[in-house]
Amino acid sequence: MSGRRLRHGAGVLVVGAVLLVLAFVVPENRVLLLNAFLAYGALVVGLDLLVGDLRMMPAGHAAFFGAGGYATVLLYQKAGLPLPVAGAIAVLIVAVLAALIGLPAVGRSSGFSFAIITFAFGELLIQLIANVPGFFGGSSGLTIDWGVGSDMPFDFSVYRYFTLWLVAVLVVVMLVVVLVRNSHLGLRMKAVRADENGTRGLGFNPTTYKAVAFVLASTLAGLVGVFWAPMNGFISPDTLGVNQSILLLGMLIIGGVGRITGALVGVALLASLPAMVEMDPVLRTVLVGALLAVVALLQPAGIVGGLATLWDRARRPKAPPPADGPVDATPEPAGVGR
Amino acid sequence: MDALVTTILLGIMQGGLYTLVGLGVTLTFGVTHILNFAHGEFITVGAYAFVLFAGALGAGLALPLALLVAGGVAAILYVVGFRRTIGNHLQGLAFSLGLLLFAEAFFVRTFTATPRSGPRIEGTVSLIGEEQLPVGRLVVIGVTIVVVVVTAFAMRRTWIGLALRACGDDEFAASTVGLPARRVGLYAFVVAGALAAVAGICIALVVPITPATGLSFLLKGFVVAIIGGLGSIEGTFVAAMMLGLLEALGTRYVEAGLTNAYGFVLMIVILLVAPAGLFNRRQVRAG
Repeated sequence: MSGRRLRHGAGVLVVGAVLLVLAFVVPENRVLLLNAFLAYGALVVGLDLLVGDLRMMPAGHAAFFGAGGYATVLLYQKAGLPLPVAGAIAVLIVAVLAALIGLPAVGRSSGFSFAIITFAFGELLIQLIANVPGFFGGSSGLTIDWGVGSDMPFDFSVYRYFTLWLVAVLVVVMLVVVLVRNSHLGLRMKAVRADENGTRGLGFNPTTYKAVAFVLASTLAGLVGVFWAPMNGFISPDTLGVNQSILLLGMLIIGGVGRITGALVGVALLASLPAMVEMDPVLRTVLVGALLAVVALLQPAGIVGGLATLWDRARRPKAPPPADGPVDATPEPAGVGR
Repeated sequence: MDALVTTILLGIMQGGLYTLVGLGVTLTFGVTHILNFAHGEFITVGAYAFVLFAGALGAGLALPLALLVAGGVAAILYVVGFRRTIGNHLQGLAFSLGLLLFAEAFFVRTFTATPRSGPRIEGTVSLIGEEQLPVGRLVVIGVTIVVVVVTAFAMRRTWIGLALRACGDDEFAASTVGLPARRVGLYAFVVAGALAAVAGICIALVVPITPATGLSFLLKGFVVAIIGGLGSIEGTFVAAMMLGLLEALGTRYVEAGLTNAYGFVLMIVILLVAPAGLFNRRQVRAG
């Protein structure tokens, strides 16, 4: 157990180191793309705590991302707090919000109704923002007057400076996910996923673990928003809408749930790769949608899930002989190795 | 007083449209257990098919053609895709999300995001007092009432309705008496697609349509299907009427900017009080 935790933790640090190098060497016109990858990556890896570990499907995950962003911008601009303090308070606000929403939502709904109730809370947040234009900026959004050109370490541009922070956020999110998965909390979450009533019989309350996972994943999403909003310099209700939330779910499922690599592959395939191609954005969405649908049909376990199955099959010592193999090979007894 | 009548009529019309969408959601979910985010695109398909055919062939021919197109699209999508995803919630969800992204962008690309109007029903009549009531809304209310009554009757009295209800209640028991759930799922998708097309045609009759029309109605359809208790036709109808009236009255008398918020608050309150919905006879779970 502890060996696996160390191995996964080391893997996360290696990924973090690679991304850190990328943050330095990536050309200036690709920095925003890298930032988007990092932010989406952190969101999707965090979302996997709910989808992969508990098979809960929130359709309002982006709301917490947006809430983190809005809280930071408002605290920075209206309350005049320095950015780090504003960010820290914003994360706390998101955690409280997630607890307020999550406790009734996970206790009183499951499956379909959980998806729709989380979606409804997200839409309510948008309504709130759109209807109080004086404070929240309304549906046109808020601009953040981040002083461009102030002193940056390594002569970085503002965007590249925030790349460093987003790398840190992604590493933190991945470490949290690795730690949770390799802990007793993770084991109990696994038990809840496998058999909710059985878990209850063992003396654990499934609702507690679902609520903990919900608050944790939502707070991580808020953390991403805290860094994304000042980086982007602008935040609008669109960033927390249902379209964003379902895109997050789509990326996760396509990559493969339950694995950090799956989440990152999904983000690269549906968000980063299409953005690198010069194309009409509407046509791009057409192609991304078609890709999502086709991959979902062909590879139910996601791309990484499918690759892992292939890998397992290749490594299994008693693999069935290939179709063009020796004809005199002894046939395996029926039922073995399946 | 007269304003109240107009508002209530508007609420009933919206409620009727929500019923049509919610019925489709309830039917397909009941049989296949797929949370179909692409269901709203059947509305858009029906609406655009109606508007386009009406421009080319006249409204009379356009009606059956639009129904045929939406039902056909639903059937093809089911046979090609959704049939394979039964039993894997994540896969079904991902497939429908992909379709949603694809369809919305495809409609924007083909027909642009500018609102389009088809053959609108213009004119007003005065039924009660001085107030002039738009004929279009009355027609839509009439159509939805007829369709809902026919659907409810068909679900009780016809072979397909019986099959749909049986598979929704207990898939395994239904299969032991010779009802393959996958085949019945096809009926569910065709019926749901046709109902959504009726909703789309009705929407096109009273307001201009955009590629985003389907999704906004779909989300309301999800809400009423859940409030009503998944799988219940009466529940969907009652919930849709509650939602439609609440939205219309709230928009008129409380605050117009919060139209969408009323429904979500209603759903959250009802789910906190009755987690399985209003008319649910047993616990239905999706995941």
